[in-house]
Amino acid sequence: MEASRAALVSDGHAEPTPPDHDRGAAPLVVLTGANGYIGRHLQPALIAAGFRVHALVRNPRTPPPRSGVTAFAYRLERPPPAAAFERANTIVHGAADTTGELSAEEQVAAAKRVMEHAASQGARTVFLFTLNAKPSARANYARAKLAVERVILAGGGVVLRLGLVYGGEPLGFFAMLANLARSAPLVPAFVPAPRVQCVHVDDVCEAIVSAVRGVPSGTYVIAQARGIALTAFLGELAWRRHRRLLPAVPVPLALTRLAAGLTTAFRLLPKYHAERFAGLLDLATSPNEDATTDCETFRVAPRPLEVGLARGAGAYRELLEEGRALMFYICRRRPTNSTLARYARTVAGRGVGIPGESIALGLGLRPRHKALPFLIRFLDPRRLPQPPRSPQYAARRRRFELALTLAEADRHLAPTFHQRRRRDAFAAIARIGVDGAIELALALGSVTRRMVAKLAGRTVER
Amino acid sequence: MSGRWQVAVIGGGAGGVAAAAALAERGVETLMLDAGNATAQAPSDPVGTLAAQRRGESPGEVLLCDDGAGEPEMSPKYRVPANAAANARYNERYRTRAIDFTIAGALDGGATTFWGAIVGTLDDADMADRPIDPRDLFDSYRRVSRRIGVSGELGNDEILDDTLMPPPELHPTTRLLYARYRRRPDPARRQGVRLARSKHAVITRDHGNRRSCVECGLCLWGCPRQSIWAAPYDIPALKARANFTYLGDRFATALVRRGASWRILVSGPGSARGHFDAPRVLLACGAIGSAKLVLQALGWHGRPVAIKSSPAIGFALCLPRLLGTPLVDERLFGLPSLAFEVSVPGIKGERASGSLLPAAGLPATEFIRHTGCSYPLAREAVRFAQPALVVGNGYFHGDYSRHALRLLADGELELTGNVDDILPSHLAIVRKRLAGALARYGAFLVPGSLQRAATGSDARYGATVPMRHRPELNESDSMGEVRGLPGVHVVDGAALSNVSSKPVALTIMANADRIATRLPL
Repeated sequence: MEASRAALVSDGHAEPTPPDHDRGAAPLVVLTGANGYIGRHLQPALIAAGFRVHALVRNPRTPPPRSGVTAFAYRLERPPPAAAFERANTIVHGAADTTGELSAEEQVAAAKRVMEHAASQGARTVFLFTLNAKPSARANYARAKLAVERVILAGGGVVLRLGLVYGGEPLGFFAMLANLARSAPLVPAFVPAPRVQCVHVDDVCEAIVSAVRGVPSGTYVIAQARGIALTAFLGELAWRRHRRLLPAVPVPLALTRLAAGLTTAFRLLPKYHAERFAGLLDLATSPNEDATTDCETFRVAPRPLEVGLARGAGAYRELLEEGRALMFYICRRRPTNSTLARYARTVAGRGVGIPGESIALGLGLRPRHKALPFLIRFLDPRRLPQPPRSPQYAARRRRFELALTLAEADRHLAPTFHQRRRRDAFAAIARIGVDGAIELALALGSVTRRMVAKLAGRTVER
Repeated sequence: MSGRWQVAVIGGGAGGVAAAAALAERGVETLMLDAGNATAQAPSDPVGTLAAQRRGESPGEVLLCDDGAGEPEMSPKYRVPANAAANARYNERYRTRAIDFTIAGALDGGATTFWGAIVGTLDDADMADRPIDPRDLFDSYRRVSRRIGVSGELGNDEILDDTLMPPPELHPTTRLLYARYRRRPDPARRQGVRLARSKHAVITRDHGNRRSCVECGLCLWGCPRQSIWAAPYDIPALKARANFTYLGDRFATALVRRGASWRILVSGPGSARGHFDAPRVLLACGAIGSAKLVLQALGWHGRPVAIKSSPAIGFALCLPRLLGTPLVDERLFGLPSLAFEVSVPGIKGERASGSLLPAAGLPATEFIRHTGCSYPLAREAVRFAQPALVVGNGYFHGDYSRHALRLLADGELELTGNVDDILPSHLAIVRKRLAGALARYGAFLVPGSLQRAATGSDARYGATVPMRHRPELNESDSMGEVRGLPGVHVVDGAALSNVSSKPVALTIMANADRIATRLPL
């Protein structure tokens, strides 16, 4: 941190809280595109982190600005209001044209105007754009953002490249995906399947707040290291949000390129929708970004999809279902609701995962586990042979032990831990015998598979 | 504040309460400073019984408690030594730094809030290296036993016999084992193994405000009837006396000599600081806490001193005859109820001791956690086996421990754990004799179950300021008075000359009573 601050100072840029002006007052962040998808979520995050916010938006009255935020009217194609930049410490430039009406050149000019204002106040600029901005990108939006990146870096600013941002209030591009997931009868599964790197909007906001606090000039990637097929993302979204199974139809990539070409050539769609469609295609067809991300620089641990997609009441319901599945797996009976509530509260409240972390490490339960709890045996941290020790293993084990502890204290499940009649003993012996035999067989199978894999590996090496 | 009190007692645990009770009896103006805060609570009835809970008839929440960090936990007493949250607070207060040592810190009211409540007297062999005549303790043993209320079987301890209440019932497992032993004790005796019923600081008749044990089985979840003695229960009665002053939430940080009296610097309540003066100070804040105050007052920084503890083992026994039997005992006493002793000539202290606890008194979760197969299979297996299991705790003599305690210049307390190299081989001898003897009575050691507990987790710390015939600096005389600190007496586990393999709580209390009764004023 110190080194990065030193770098900033030597570059001639101000520290986040310059001592010469506004001593004592909260540092000021100017946020363009404050009513956009990310901007809406970023406003409260910045205020919670102790900043004042000047929001530059198209319409400063709707929605009414929250406390700590002053709204200014701003359009990309016009000069920004100088008053908004007075004594600013950092500019977060999130505004972009998503309708396709402004040319790339016009957007670059807009960014330059913002940079000039920043320079006049000795403020630094943080610029946001999406991963899929490639020179080959179809969407005007993405091409423009790529051009702006160069301007920002030349001016010593910070550029954050974001993965596919999802979660929170559905707005912008995420709103379109959410609509697809809710109502599309089926979705295309592109072949070969390109992958997208997702990132939850709250994780993005956390990273931006860190960037505002001070990181050296440069480009940073904020996304999950592992990509996921777009179709799989839509499927998860449909399941977690709407309990829908979304059928996917395989579509060769080449065909979609042709379709995209036709839409543009014959203006089959209104401009706004064509732009969105192009964006979707860019996203679906862009090659996987380098899996190394810069989340560590920002101390952000991107939450896994299953956690990120289930927000609020959804996340809670998710945990209730997880608890029910785990306890049914252990006891073969349904627990009471109050026990499930306690399970969900404990996991959500403290995060029975790795000490010091939130529930970032999910258990990885799929719909099939909830339907057929005996399949959880394959996730059981103590199945035979024992899985290798890892942070995931420790987190999983703690969840199972929590479910076990709560189960024994549950009114419905407690009797499954203790025998009531002597004659039950024979049934018990039979069950232990059968279960033990199955477990042994599975263990042997697994060991054999590992050995075969090992032998095969050796042969190849030779 | 000064001049008012003749004696200040630091610590409201077993030692502190025993000393304060004796002082109050003598009419001495006494001040007690306690890091916890004991407030009078009326006993209440338990919510159902363990059996009812197991049948699913009573709300299960009674079995769950908070582990102090937001996660529900089973059976607080059983898990306290390993409870990170409880120990974190202790370590923070005393600023301890442990190396190869597990500090099982005490909660408010001392270690008595989570012990197994087993009491007993020490015999001549245990007292060999003490500067006191064992007979000097007899009266104190009996006085303390009458005050706190002890139950047990007659006929195996002539000192306590006439103070005892009848013992609670034995569980079918331990009853079967004990009956077989009583019928034919010779095979065990040949191996040096002896069994006897444990004596407990548990009342089976109403005693003062506390109510008698109803054998609800919830012992390890805390006894709402207050049948199991804990030091804080005695404080309200002391508070009622005009010559006794109790100040809770006061953590003593240092002792400073001021003329003829001692000044005790305290922190708390909250961030407040204060001090109290008294000509005589009785230290009862545990072997670690008392030693820290003594080392600080002597200015002994950086020099290691010995701290002893009993290396402990845990194991499980199985009585196959009871496999698959129902586990719905309506009445159940959930504390260790059989004591064992393995005498082996040549091992330190000449014996190892311990106690046996019916597994029925523990949650099944404790056993499922220790099996090596998937959770549902483990549940089935434990359901079948638990009625036949007995859990054992064994302790070895304190001379096996080689721990060191060092006060660092910055005020931190460093604890380094170590045990004698010979311990594993002596453990193997004890194990062989114990397993061999018990197998004769149909109780078989579960293979792989015998394990040594983490060094220090036994929580039987002692002998940090030991009583000696000729005390050196940082040792004490027969009145617990620390050499070099005239007027400062140690009346807790720190004053033990050694840590026996047998439970020493009652002896600590009796010794505190003896010192307080004879304290020159």
